[in-house]
Amino acid sequence: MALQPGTMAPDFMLNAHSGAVKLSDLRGKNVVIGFHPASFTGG
Amino acid sequence: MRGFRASYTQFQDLNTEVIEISCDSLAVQKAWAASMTEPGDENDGQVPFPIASDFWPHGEVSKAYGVFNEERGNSRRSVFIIDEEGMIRWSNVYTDSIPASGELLHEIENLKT
Repeated sequence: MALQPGTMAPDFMLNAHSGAVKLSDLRGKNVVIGFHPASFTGG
Repeated sequence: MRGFRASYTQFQDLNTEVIEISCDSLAVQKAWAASMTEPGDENDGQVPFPIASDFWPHGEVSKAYGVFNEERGNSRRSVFIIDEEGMIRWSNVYTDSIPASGELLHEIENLKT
């Protein structure tokens, strides 16, 4: 089941097309995370 | 992804960053981002927010957020809105396409109230 509102967002660091991205580096900003099943499929 | 991109400046106006995640390899993410390059845009037409790879350990972040599809080995289509303090304020899982960015922008505006 997906994490629900009121839960602290688990921190992560992932490689992205533009370099590494770390969620906790974005503290002080809102963040929209979009998960999708596969690239090249719209989304 | 196109929807997020089209609305990216509006997200930025609300002090909001966007991260796209799937369980594809980094090579796939780079190829996808390259295919979405739009010459003439700012930033040399590059996709302006990270297209991140949750490939290895496979689906680790998707699992942490409870949206890993164990049968298919990929991420369920879903959106999380995280506030400035790092707390999840809104989440939803979709069987079809994600909502229009306008709905998400509206939710973010409501975070302040």
